[in-house]
Amino acid sequence: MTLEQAIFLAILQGISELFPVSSLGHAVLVPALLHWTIKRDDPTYLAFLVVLHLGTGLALMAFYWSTWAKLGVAFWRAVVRGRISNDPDEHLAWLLIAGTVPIGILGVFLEQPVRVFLGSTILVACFLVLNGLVLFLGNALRRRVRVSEQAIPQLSLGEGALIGAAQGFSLLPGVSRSGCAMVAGLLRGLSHEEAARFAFLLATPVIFAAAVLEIPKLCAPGVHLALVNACVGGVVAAVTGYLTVAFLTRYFQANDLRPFAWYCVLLGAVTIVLTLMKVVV
Amino acid sequence: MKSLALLATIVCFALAALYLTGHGPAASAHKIHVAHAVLFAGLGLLSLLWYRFAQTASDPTA
Repeated sequence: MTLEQAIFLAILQGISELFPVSSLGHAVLVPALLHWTIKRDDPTYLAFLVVLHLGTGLALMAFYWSTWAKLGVAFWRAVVRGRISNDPDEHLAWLLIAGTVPIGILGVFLEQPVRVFLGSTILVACFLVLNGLVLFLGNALRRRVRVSEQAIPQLSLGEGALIGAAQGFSLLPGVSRSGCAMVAGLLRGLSHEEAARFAFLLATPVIFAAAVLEIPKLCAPGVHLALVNACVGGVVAAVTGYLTVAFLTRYFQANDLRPFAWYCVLLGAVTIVLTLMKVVV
Repeated sequence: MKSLALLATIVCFALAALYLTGHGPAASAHKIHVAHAVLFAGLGLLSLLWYRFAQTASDPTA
């Protein structure tokens, strides 16, 4: 992998991890579309992806550091007291725990079985189209179904767990974690802005945990991670991730999911056609 | 509820230990499953918090 490819992949990761367009799907489709000869199951490539994920996780943590600091204090306050009070920060801290447990369980037990899909470009493209349709559906249902609008702290712990569990669909390469969480949040009555904020807060521990658990891959036999590529890639992914979350929090104040839905459907459809024409393998 | 929370804590930590030593229920060929162990250790900690909350709920003076 050249330095230019490393930088390109880092930018792609920083953007697609947080945009509701599936970073895993892009990590499979874009190198295939560009005819890059990167082996997706090569230990060195997997180790490089771990560094990119750590960069994105750090960017999310940095963007929401004041929120996480408040949530940490609120969490311990509730533990010491032995009950959850009506404080919104305490409730949000427990909502995030309730939302993280289902994706943690699903991720640990289902990650290996669904990994077989990574080898098929056409299947990943189909999942990307499906992701776009889910975004369209979520957006349309949010407008039609009469759900009383609520803020994040008004969600029950069960609703938090449900939104967290919805992220489980993102184990399928091509389906976006933040997209699933946002659609589930919208259907529980959150605004686009609140749904995005909750999705990003939920994403932070998931991205970090996934990256930290994959750290041993950095020392796996056969890994020849170029230090320059890894360092530059990690920093570029972190900077891009920070800029992306800053952009999206502003974007969702007045806009919805439709542009991302169109993008997923079009990219998926083009990839399917090119794969059937054997232009992409 | 307290007993259930305590039972869940013990089961989760036991499963975490089993996975870490390569003897977990789904551990094929005695392979160490770090992710499974970390998951069950986390669930064990949450069960411990559940026990703490259940204790306070049953004893308002605690």
